[in-house]
Amino acid sequence: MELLCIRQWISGLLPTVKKWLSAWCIKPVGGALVRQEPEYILLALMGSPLKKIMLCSSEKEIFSVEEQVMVQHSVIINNMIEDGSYNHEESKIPLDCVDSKTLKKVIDYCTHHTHHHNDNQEDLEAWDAQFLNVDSNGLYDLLMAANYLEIRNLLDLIYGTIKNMIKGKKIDEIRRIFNIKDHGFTPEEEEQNRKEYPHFY
Amino acid sequence: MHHSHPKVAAPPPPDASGGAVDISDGKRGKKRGNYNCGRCGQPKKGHVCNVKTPISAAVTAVATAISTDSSHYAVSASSSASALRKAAPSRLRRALSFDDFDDGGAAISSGGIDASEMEDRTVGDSFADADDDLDLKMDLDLDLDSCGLPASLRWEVLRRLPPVGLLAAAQVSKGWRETAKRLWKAAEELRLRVPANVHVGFVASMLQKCPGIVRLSLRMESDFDSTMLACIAFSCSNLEYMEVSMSDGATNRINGGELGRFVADKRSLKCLKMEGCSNLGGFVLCSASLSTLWLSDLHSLSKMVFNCPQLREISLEFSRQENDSTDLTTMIEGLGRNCSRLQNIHIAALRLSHAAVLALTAAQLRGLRMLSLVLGSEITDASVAAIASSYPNLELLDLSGSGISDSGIGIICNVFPETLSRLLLALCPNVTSSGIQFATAQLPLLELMDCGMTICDPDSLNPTTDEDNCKPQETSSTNMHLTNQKLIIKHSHLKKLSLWGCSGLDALYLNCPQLNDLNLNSCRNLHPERLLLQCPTLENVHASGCKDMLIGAIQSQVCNAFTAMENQSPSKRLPDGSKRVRVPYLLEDECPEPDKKRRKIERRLCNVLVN
Repeated sequence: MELLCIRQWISGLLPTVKKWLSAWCIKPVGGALVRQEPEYILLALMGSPLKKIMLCSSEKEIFSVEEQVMVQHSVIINNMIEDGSYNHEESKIPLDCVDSKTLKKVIDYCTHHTHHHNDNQEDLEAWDAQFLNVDSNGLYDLLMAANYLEIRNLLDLIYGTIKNMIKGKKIDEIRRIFNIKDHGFTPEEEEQNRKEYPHFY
Repeated sequence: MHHSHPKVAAPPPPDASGGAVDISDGKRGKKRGNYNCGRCGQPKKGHVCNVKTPISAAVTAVATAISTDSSHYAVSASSSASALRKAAPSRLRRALSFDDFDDGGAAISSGGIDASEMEDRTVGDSFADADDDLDLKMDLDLDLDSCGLPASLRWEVLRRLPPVGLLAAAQVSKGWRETAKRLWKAAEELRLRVPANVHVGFVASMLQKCPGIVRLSLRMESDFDSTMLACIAFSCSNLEYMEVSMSDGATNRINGGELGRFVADKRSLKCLKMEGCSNLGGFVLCSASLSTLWLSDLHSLSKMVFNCPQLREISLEFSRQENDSTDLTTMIEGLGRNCSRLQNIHIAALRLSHAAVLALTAAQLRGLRMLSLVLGSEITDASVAAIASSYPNLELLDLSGSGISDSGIGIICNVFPETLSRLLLALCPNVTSSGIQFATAQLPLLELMDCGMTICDPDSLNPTTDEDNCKPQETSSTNMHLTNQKLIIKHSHLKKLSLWGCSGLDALYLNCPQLNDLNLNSCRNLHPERLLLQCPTLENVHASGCKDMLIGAIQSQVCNAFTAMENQSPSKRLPDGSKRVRVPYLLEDECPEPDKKRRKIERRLCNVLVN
């Protein structure tokens, strides 16, 4: 059977097998109830690994990621897989605008959010804050990568962070943060700006 | 404060509230290099499209938001106004909100700008604008060094800034200024706080920046006069929603003629809300588009003509001065004649009388669903009978401050059990606990019940006090039927119950599985041992002005109920004496929103609010 068909067959089986599993896979272990994701159990039983895809960074480094994880977050990758243009056995997705370091971080974000979507809001937010604790170059690279891959929630997160970097700051500081060396105003215009909104400077 | 009778505890947020909605995803599918405008087919470069985007979706969503909200407008107007503000209807909106700004012309003091106060209300760009602008930008402007960010991403970042931040961003560089200008142009909603001593030029300059404004909210701390109204009329050609709220010390100097001209000129105006209208004197409002009208602080109106056939909702609050010479009966007759599509009526006036009610019932408003006639102590059971016979399909009935008695409640329960979901009878001195109990027993769809200050000593009744009456009052007289009262309420749909100020209440038993909010402010004589709350979904209990023992009793009842339920797991005892415990639901069937399901299992904590 082709790989694609096997995948569909497994996912078709999933609901019935889940119920079967729930009866005996979940047992009180020393008073606590252990919860397992049914897909993992099922596939562990079946003996095949979770479907993975290959992402290739601009530096030609290959990263192997669970398909589920990337498909959930990245619209671009989701479209590619759904189109069927991606052949699991052979192809890898080339991402020439994303370097290895950034790609690794992006994959990290997607994986964490897929596996920890059940956590409460504060924990997730704390993790996100920690995740974005990078210098402005790193943030910029992440933004470009998220934009390219169309990862909506990462984009929103980064936009929010950048907005907070701007909000409430003086103009000179904003220019410094964003490395804007030439603001494009003539000296007269700049003079007038300063007169009109002196407290922004 | 607009209303004399105090707030029912916390109106629920409207269902339509959306908060920040993301930019429409339509642009995602667009291929690069499409140089023609999507709407009129002309090449995009340097092109300003005049073809209007249909925003009917946005407008109908606003209309639903208003109608869901208006059911709580009996509650203080400011809270419902803010709830309405939170309802962000569709993706096509984009909101900017100002809370603090000083005179743009003169020197600005540094304390005047407070960017941290402003909430970010950006809701998404108007579809066509985003399309046009972003494609244009992606083609032309990829120069990163001078601007720091590519243009499309700059748009996204600046879009999230509050207005003051946007003004600052416009000074950072030329590229940023371009983006800021585009954002201003795309703005459809503007909320301004106009500080005292500010020149009208400030408002004018703000409005000129965003000509596409559809919704305008002004919080005036300086006087609102005809110059400002003219300025608004001039700058905002597409205005559909206008709200003017006045803070203390600011006067609304608009007179009736100016208001009438404004309403007649603005062909697209759908909603007008104005506070402090004490200088109106009389007006003639003619508008084919107006569907919501809220005017408050009215006083002595000589002539009121509402020539607005599309009017759906009207709220008229008269100031509580004694020498009000408005002829309410004629006004209501006129209303009934010209505005036959009215659905929600709210009139708060001391001079409401039986004659006015009869004028209303003679008007045959077939769509009337919510009726609120408050403060009229001359409204009697006969008025209720008249209302019940003419409008048997009411969903909300608010007769707070009126003189109806238990027999009036009997009439209500006879006629409205199939439709009435909100009944408000605060400050009705002739209503007793048996009437309240009868109402809760006979009205199966009831969701909100407000019986504030009903079961209490008449000497302590003070109709001019606002908010909650925490002032210690001596109960001198002892009318036995107004003290030591007991209330037993068992209702399957009741969500909000307000018994504030019921100082004659001694015992309370509540069995309401859906109750979210309970207001027991100033229930001074409620005995802690005679309180039983069996309401598992209770979220808020208001208990200010109550004795400490009572507050303790409430807390223990509310918290214990939850812990008791957590330990319960469904079990079944089999005939052989063994016990099978059913394992609670652990596996979710689908991945998409499992966190929501998980949270449903967790118990919500109940807050006991003591101010």
